Amino acid sequence: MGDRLIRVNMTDQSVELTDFPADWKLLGGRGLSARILLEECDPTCDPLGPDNVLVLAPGVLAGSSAPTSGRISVGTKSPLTGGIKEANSGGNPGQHLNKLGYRAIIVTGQPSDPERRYGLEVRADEVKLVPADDLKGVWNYATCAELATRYDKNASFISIGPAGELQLTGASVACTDQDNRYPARHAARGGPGAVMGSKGLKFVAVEPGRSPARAPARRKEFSALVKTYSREYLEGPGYQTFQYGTSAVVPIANMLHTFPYKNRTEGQSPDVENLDGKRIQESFEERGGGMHNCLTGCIVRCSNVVHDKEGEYKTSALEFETITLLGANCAIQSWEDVADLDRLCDEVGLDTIETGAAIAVLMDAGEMEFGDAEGAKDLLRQIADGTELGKVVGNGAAAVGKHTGHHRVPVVKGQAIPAWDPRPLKATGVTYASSPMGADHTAGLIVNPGLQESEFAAASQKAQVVNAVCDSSGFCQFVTPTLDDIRAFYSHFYGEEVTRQQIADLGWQCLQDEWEFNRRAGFTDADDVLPACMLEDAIGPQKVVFDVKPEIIQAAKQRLADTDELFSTKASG
Amino acid sequence: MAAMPIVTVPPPFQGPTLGQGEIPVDGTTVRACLAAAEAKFPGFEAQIFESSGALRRFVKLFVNGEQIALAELDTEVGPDDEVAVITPIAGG
Ligand code: SF4
Repeated sequence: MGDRLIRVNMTDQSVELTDFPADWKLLGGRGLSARILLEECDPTCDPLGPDNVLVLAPGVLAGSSAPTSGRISVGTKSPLTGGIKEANSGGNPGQHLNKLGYRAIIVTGQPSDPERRYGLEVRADEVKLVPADDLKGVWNYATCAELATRYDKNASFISIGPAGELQLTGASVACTDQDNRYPARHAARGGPGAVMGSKGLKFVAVEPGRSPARAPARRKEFSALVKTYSREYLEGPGYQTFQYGTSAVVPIANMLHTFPYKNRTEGQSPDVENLDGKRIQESFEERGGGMHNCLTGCIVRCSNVVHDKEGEYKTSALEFETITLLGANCAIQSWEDVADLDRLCDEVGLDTIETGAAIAVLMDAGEMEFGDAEGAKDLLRQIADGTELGKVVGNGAAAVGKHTGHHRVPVVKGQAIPAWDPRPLKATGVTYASSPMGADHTAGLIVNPGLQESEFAAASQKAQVVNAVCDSSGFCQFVTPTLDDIRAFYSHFYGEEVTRQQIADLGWQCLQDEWEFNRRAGFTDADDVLPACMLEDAIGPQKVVFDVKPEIIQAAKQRLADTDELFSTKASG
Repeated sequence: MAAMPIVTVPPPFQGPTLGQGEIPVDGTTVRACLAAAEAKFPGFEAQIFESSGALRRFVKLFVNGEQIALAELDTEVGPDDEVAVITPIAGG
């Protein structure tokens, strides 16, 4: 049987399977989601109303034996930015859906009773909605523990926590990881959990059964490529970079003044020693935990499993972004407190970046003390309980800014700026301003403080194209594939040559579909700006601000000639 | 121009070098090459060494692809050699 799409209408709870269009075969993940949203979703719709569309789309190579390639994109009209959004997650649901030949789940409509909850069961021979009212309000870990008793032992789950059910715009969609099946991997940015919640969809359970890996057209060549690519990666500098996870980058980021402190009023934290990922590594020996792969077939294993003092599982993965936004940026001093906050975010179903930024704005506005870790934990519980303040914080940094009237609100298109700071890293700032995603480091991160103004637009565009293709392929950005790598895998998988032109066009088309969606939603060039605090509050010894001219930001959106360098640039996130 | 050793600088450390990724330097040891790069671009060496002189934990030095330790800073280099500074950068 050929590949299919799962279409779920939550208004009448019907499920239909349709053929996956043959001419879409090179579309997956982010690119597929963008195409579906542009064709099927009214960009002017209420993001939390019945007309919004939620797309769950594995990357092209998910379910195959390509290394570290099973990621899934969650796409929708974002209730946070009002524009198109793609959030990308590890875990096993992407692998499983593609193994079953389901290239995307497209969820539309809304149940007439907002109190109802449903689950979607996905199997090789049947896809159906089932009632899930008993899981209403249940936190993510308990939800997945319960689902583990109901479904096959190799099933994977996609779920939302209370934040999604409350339709808070900082809400994430959780995916279970491959070994413990904990809901520790999140498609977090832009509030996709709120859209899933607005549709009454509490979970998706995917039972892969005994479905084998997806078979490439040129088996021999594909497995030879898997072997050489994996060997070269593991022997190269990329592996050294990621083998202890993203938290290892803390001291470098601090040195580069991109480890924001106290709502980004400074670029370095005095608590860098306590927040350094090295402390997490040191805890492994005594407490257990360690590095693991979040999805089957990942050779990088960048995900840390963090245990508490008693040696019990606490959370996974404790990432650089989380340590920065929920730690340094809130002046919270210890990685152990950040681990607690990370677990709470995963439980309640929240984006750690947005939530950390929101709490920092609240602290900066004087409504809470900087460094108040216990207060921050209480706030996260309040989000789950739906208190008034909890809802404000759960709706993100811009909502807190509005609520408090505070002037320093570091967001772009309504979405909080991640750790990587656009003042020392101006080309990354160009990405934040021009990307259809709002401030999102995974859209095109450039960690080079030495780039000159004349290079910003080209560097940002190159990173945005490469990352768009990577996030469409299923590869994790941390295995750092180039466009040439990805097209080699596609060529052997489909048994026909994918040219440089084709692969570059795929990335560019994805961005154009997304920009076009945003244009129809009402965005103009005037929205491609960074907030006043990034233009006025100087940081670092050189007192840098983001002072890039608007024409450079717009130049990043005009396609430049493809150069050889475009095809050898590694994805970065 | 006569051949000179090259110091290669990873993108995160190109702030002081104003985006220059390869610096031709006059020097016959690794230590001298790095010092020459510092003389051209002040602030470069502070990214590599602690104020105590120790190598920063997240920095590695390579000569023609072979990693060297702090104690080997006096390793000799010739005009066609490359001294590479490497640092891991992972995102989010
Ligand atoms: S590299 Fe890390 S985030 Fe990416 S798939 Fe592997 S474990 Fe998951």
